[in-house]
Amino acid sequence: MASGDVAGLVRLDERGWRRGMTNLMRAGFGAWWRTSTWWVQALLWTAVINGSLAVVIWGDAPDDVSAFTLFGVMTMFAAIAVAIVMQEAIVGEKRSGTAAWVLSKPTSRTAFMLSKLVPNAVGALATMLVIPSAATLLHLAVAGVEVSPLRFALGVTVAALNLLFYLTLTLMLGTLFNGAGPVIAVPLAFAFGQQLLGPAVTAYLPWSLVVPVGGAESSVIGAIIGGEPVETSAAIVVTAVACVVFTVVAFWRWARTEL
Amino acid sequence: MGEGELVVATDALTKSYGGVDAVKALRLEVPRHSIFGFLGPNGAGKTTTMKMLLGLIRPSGGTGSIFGLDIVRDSPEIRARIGYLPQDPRFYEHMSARETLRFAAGFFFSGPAAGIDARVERMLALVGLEDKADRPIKSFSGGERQRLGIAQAQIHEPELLILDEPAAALDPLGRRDVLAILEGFRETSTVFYSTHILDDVQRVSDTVCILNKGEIAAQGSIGDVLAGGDEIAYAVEVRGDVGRARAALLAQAWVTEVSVAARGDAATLRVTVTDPEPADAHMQRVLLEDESLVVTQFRRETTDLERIFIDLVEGGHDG
Repeated sequence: MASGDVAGLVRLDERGWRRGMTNLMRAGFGAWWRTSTWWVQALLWTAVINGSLAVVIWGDAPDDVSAFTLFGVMTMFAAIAVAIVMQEAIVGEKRSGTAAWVLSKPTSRTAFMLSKLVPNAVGALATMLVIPSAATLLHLAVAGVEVSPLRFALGVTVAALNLLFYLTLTLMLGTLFNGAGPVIAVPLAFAFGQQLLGPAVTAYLPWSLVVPVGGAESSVIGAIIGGEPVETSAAIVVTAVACVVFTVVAFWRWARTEL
Repeated sequence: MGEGELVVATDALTKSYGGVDAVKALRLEVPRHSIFGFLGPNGAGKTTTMKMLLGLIRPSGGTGSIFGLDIVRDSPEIRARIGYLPQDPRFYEHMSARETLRFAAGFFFSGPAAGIDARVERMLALVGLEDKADRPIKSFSGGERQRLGIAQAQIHEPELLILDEPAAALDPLGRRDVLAILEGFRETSTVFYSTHILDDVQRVSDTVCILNKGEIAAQGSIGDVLAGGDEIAYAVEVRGDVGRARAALLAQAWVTEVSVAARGDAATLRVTVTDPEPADAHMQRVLLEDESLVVTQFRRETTDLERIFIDLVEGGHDG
């Protein structure tokens, strides 16, 4: 076979599960950072989160605890939005044929799935959580609300876990279904249905990370940022384990998917 | 791999869905440097076969090899040497044609961007998309997507091109151009392409396989397949007493069948014979012995792929 006729080009020699990874990752990150997606999402969530907080912070009766809890609630909307943004990542590519096209190239299915997981996770976390949260920290400082940057960062980390829960759930559903309906409906139904299960169950679910349950004053995020005791920390473990399980199932299923 | 060797070979390759065989015990043989036309009506199993060769779906049974490598076990190595055009090519819509080709090239090459770009430019010129290179793909017509699909499949100058209906979405001029491109690949590659446009196959293919209901109905060089339709027939237009003409012809030992399509006092006789020599020498004479008959046209029917295809697909090769 001809090896590049232009000086300097060399045939790639990637092997195994890493085959095609560099190229796919470059494209995956490019879809976020070389298009308008990143600044549109960053602007949108900075405005949504900080606009909501402004009502509490700059209102007639400023309340720090309410502000921290509200911050957690608003990050939940970002997490749910991830499910909407991500639903096309696998199902859309299966239906349009781009997945089959890409996998007709010398690349592994593991590399393909990683290129959906990592760039989308980084892109969503950065634009829908980290950048808006940095603006929130500045916002709180300007408003004179005392908050420890370390505790705030820990709170944002828990919000990131919640976001990853919906991202990996959506990714997994994309490998299990061929239609967009269930892929978008299941995360939305789960997101809002958790509160109906009763505090004994909800305390172990991602809901309690962002919304106070069972008579608690704060959510996990609100408590961490406010320096209060965290009453439902088991939800952190459950959410983290669920993220791992969803990811493993997604990779397992994708390896067996016929396109 | 030398001349005359097989690039693609399958043995009893089968794909079943829910107990129904979409592809049944396929034994494909694609010679090196051939332009292999993979023919069949819609639903015959052409795309399923191509996807099995590409490792996109797993065979239910049988084996297949490309370049001597197993299509299941060695799929990534095979795909490094193949270019593929899907039936309805779709690419990432946020990319332009140039970005799509860079992306495709990125699976095969590393090195300076200038080197990749030079290759991309060459492919854009090959398919005539230079002036649309930086337009978003979402604004592309079906024909432009098809051209881009051919360019991305050829970006690494593969040893084998697998093209699923490469000319289906094109107008006649676009089809002509695509066929010319395919012919140009003959020197360097093997082209395995599916189509249901029989004219295209007869124009550019040297080897064909006709697939019907998941089974091979015929396979071989174009010459062999055409020869397989070994019926020798003549079309004779006559005026006069057609019944007497038919009877006179059927009295000849070398005539096997005469069918009549009447139009007023004229008719076209389709005469099938066992041997063209006596037919060429005597058929018109036999007819003209009857002075009431006038022969206005006499020609031997040429066997074309369309007739063979229809005979094979409709003529009981449906097991």
